[in-house]
Amino acid sequence: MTDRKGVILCVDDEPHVLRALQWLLQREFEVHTASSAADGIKLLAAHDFDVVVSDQRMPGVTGVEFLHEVRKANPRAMRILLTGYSDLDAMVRSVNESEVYRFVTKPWDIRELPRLIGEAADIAKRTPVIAPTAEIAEATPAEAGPIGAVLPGAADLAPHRRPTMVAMRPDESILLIDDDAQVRHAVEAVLGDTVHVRCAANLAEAVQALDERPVSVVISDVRVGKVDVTRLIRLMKQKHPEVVSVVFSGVQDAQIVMDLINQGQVYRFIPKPFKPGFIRLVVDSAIRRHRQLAEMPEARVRFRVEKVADEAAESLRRDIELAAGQLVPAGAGPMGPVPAGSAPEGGLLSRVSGGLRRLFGG
Amino acid sequence: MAREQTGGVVSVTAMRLPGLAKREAAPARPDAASSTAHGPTQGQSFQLVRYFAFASLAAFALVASALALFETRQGDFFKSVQEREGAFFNATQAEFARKQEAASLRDLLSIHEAGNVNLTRLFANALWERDFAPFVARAASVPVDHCRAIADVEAPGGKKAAPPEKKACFAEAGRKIMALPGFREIDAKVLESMKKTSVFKIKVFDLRGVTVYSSEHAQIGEDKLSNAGWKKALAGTPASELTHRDKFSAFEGVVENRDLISSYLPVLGPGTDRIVGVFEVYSDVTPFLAQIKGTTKELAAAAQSNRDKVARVSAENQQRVEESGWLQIATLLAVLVVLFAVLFLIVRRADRLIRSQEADRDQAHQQLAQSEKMAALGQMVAGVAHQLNTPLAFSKSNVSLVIDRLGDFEKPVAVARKVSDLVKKAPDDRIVLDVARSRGQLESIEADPADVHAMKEMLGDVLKGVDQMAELVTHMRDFTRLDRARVSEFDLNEGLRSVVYLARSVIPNAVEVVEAYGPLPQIMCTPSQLNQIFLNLIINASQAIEGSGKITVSTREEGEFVRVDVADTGCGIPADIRERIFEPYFTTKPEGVGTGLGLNVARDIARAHGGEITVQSVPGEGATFSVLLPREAGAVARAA
Repeated sequence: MTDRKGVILCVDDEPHVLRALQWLLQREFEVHTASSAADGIKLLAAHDFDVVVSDQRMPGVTGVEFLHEVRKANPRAMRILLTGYSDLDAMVRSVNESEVYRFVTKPWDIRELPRLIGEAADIAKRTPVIAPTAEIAEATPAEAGPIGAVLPGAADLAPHRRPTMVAMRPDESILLIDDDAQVRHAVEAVLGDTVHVRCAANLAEAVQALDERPVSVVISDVRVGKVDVTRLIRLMKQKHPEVVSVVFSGVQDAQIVMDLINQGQVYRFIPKPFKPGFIRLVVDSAIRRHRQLAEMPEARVRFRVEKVADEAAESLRRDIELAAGQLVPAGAGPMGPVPAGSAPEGGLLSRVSGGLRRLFGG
Repeated sequence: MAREQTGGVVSVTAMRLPGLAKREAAPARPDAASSTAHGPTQGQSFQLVRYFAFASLAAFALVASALALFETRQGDFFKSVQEREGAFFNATQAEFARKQEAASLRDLLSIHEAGNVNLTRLFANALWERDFAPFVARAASVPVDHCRAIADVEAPGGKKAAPPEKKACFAEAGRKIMALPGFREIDAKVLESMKKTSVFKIKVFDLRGVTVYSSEHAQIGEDKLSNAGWKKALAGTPASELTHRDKFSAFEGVVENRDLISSYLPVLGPGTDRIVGVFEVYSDVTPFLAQIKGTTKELAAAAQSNRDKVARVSAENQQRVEESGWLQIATLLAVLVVLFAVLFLIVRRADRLIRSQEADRDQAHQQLAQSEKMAALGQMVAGVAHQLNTPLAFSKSNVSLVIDRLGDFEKPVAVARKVSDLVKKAPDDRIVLDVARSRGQLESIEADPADVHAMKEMLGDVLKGVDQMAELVTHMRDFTRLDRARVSEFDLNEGLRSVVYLARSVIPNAVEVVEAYGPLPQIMCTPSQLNQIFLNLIINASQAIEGSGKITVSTREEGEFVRVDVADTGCGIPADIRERIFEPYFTTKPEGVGTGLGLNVARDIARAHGGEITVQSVPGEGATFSVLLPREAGAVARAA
């Protein structure tokens, strides 16, 4: 058994699926199967699994809930969610609560699935475990209210009042990308007093900001203007895996969430509209994750993403140039946004291209 | 959470919903008959414009006639006022004219009486002492008492009149008086003094009342004892009287058509207040009277002209009033007509708006029902897709794997085939294998005979997966029945099996579905529609259950009906909304989730089959929806 690539657990209520997975994987891996979440939990105690594959739809407990348990019981195991059809709510929860490594849709590819599981098992074996960041209870932000307006600064805060808020280090900053000025101002109001926030109203500004100095956390809408931001996030994760990304979206689309996980390894996905206090907790948690990643470069592979095609950077650059005609500089936030509007267009474009090249090129 | 009404999960299939599609469609349309449960707007539809036109026309006519009546009344009233005024004016004028004439006559009388009194004085002064006093004294000797003793007789007309012999008796006394000495002188003197005056006749009476002298000799001797004028004069007061005589014998002969004033005047003894006799003087006032009458006539003419003028003016006024009245009525009518026209336009516009709104609402209703249908369809498709996906996933995986593995068997099979050929060619039981040449190939054979068994199992699983998919497809076909007659003899249990099978793919695993079917006769119905009802009820039931629970679908025969119960252990339905859940658009689901048409449509379908849906519920313990369908629903369903 030692020559096998890893120990994996498959959980599905459908025995035929389990048999098919067994047949598919038994040559390369030590496969254990469980036909229910309860059986799966029992097996977790008996074996040190490298990878756990779970179906989303099971009687009683959903795959997300089960993987959440797996994360607590065995944080080392990489988690893969098998889904028959897309359930947005479950996918958002799987991002935020279970921190799944990949979504795999049924029917699976018989070459791709073993490869993915092998990769996950490899990561699980080779990389150190990152302690799970504090869980964010959905109830807290509602009680917290508009924190930024009430609290003067991080230094004065009693720890018991804001137990989760970390003090920012001088070299850390947050990049907020959203074309909605209201959202920018709301988020700034919540974070601005304790966190260094830079705002970008479009991707050109975002690229410039990223090029100017490194950021710790990128907070972005899925779409800014007419440009899809996921490519930027994917590129960032690929080239700068220590940058933690938090994405919010008013569009309820399971495919977006799936892509963000599989290709962008987003840290959190927040459906809009959100409560301002919640953002604060998420950001706090994201900064902790960023520090873990910054301190342990070898742990970054745990959040490795599917290889982004080289042309992605090129298509992103094209889109940014196309959208450049309608560029609107971000409102002058307290932290001083990128002064993009003042630059002539040619200079701006060349700076964006240069920034992209420096960020993602080569 | 209150029990929720599932939207159009009813119509998972593409089946046409009865009562929703084109509600006002021609009755020939098979679906049209099932629209009975929908509002009262169809059929004998309320025609607002027509109703308004008739009702308001009647009301306006009433108002107009009332106004016309009022106006006419006012005209009549004015007329009567005018008439009263005219009559009063006429009466006043007539009174005035009469009084004026009477005053003129009175004046004439009193003037002439005064003249006669003076005349008498003159006479008396001139004639009485010397001539009349002795003559009267002489006349006293002529007896008249015997004539007076002759009784009066009843004349025709009831009056007492002197009989002829009495008159003759007095005439005889007159002759005796005329025969008395001095008569002739007196007579001559009287006639002489009467000449050139307006005095026509003079009579003298003694205190006995006997006419002792008259310028008309025939009257001498006449008795005046009972004469009112004589009596008055005897009492000391002159008495005058205006008379008109057609013929009057004056001393100068007979005159005709004379107006006369006769005055009885007392004669006082010279130098005393003692009445010694009575004169009667007739004076002619014809010219004065003519003057008075002329004046009166003028006044009358003036009065008449005034009356005419007043009448004319009043007629004019009346006409004017009536004209203005009619003008007012005409104006009012015009205003009413305009008002009616304006109201008519408003109502017509309102009617059009209402109609278009109704049409919009209808369309929205249909669209809503359609979108629910599509949403439900999507939900079902998603459920079915997932259900299909599982066998699909493992079948695909297994088949791919088997294809992969089969590659491993190419070489062993080829080798075995070669060995087999060698064996066939070998004459004896020995064959020669050149191991050196084929060692590499033989050694590379990895195929495990166990793999064949495994592949068999894999393909066996694939077969099972295909069976699962086939079963699902069969149920879907049984559910939609798109390839079957719309109306047919149908065993509800058969439909319910498919419905429950499909519903399981949508409802959570924690909800158990129990099927308890009793034997049912086949009923004539539209199976696809009934399947929709049952699916709707089962999914509603599952939505009423939070967490785990149980749904029991049971059927039984009940007299002339077949009964399908869908019971759940969910939250139940509060009594206050139990009556309303079948109403269109009533929903307890959040906005955008349910349209509130599901149960409404379900009820329409049940009613179109001559059946009914009822609900019983104990809040907190669950609810039971019962569909009752007549065994002989055939007639209804066929008509539907």
